[in-house]
Amino acid sequence: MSDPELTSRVRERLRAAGLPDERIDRVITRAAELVACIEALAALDPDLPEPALIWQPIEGAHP
Amino acid sequence: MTADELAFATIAELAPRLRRRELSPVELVDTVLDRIARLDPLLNAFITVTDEEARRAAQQAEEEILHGTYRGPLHGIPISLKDLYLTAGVRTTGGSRILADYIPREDATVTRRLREAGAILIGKTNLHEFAYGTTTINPHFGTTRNPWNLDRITAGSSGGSAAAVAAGLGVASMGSETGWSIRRPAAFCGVVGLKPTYGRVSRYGMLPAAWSLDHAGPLTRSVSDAALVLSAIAGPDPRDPATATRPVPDFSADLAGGIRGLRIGLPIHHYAGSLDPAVELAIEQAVKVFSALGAVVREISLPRARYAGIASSVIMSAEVTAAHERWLRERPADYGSDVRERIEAGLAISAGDYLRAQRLRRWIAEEMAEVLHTVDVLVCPTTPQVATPIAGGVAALHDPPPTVAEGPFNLLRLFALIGTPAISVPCGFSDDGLPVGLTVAGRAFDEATVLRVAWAYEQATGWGKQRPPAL
Repeated sequence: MSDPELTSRVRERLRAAGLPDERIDRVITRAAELVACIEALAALDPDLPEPALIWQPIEGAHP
Repeated sequence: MTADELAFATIAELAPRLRRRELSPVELVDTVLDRIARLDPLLNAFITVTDEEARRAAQQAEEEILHGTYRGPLHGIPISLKDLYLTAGVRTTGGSRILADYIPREDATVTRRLREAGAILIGKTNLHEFAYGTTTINPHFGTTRNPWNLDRITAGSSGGSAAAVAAGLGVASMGSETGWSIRRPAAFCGVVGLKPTYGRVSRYGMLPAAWSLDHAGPLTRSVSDAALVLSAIAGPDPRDPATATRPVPDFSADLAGGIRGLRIGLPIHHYAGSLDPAVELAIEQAVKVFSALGAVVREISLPRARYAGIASSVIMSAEVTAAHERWLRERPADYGSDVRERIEAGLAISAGDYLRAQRLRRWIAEEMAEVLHTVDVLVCPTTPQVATPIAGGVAALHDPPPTVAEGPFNLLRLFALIGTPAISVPCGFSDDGLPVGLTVAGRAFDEATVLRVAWAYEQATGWGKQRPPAL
């Protein structure tokens, strides 16, 4: 884990979700990997479409 | 047919003989059950074998066919289900200790449709616990072993289904895919694995992994058989709101239509430097086969697929953790350690993260829809490697951490993420005899073209006719 600030934020999230510290220690690396990726993406601020509430595949390419 | 020939025959070969009463469903089911009794102690493909129920159902099928009531090509065919499909009166464990004694009162829609088509349920297959992992190394029900090499994994999570079909322990099996859980075990075990379009097959009565990613699909010994099973299970279901209302075509009708002039996209740059030599060679040869069959193959680029692993991992983590919220609180010690850790890690995903991943998903899907205006299907390696060692019972193959990159993990998670149909077919072997798989993927709800391309390849090469030498 190279980003102590990220680790700290993820630890707080896990603690707020009710996970005890000994369990947080076991999962912090995996959890931080996920959060780091999605936060990095947010920082890029790509022009993303709205999510679909009932998700269906895009059918635009249908013949 | 000898017992071995019966055990490795396809639905397409068996069904005409059953219909003409040249073969009895009782004889066929007895052959398969005898084989399971002999070989499953080696493979551990099954959690539950429903031998008494299967023999009763075979007797009933025989009587129906004798009296002129032939239900169709699945009538009398022995089929297994991954042990996350509910089966009335037969325990459904999800590969977990938590549900080890759970006996449902009703069938999943897939179970019911297979029974109505006359298929005979022979048992429930092993899986990675709650379908949340990639090895089928299961702490509660043991490790499923690869029929091509018992020291190798089957991959997962539908590992028991893939091993059963590869070893002749049933003619077909139903699996499920949230990331790549039908196609990767199919590739590792040398069988066909079809993930239909999201919404094509009902998930009602299927224990969930991640609701917006879960797909139901068959593992079979041939492309024709995948088409036959899909025809039986597809279609709208009011009890699964994600199912599409569009009509279900006869998926077998156009298999032999040929692929001359068809445009095939090859996103091969996603695999640069990451392929086993055997996989790389098999894909090169597959491209030559497609060209010889008259298709036009060209390399394509999918820049947004670089983000597929992130979107898939964040959505999957959030949804699986939500699905397990109560058991995680009440029975945490009953989970295996790897699955418990993955579920707990999902607690770190915020609502904002989840929605950002869903927006990303749609963005990726839009690009794929545009690409599929320029080509008819994509082909790519199902996995960059062949089956890895079990390594003394320790999980030998994990999903790598998601990264923004052109890499196999992102592309392999892509098709379940955007919901488009994809099939894995055998396309060769490594020097040490382990199967290699080729994925053909297409447009939403255009399984017919995907199956036609896969069928043409299968007929031209015959890789799927190979059997594990030790079995």
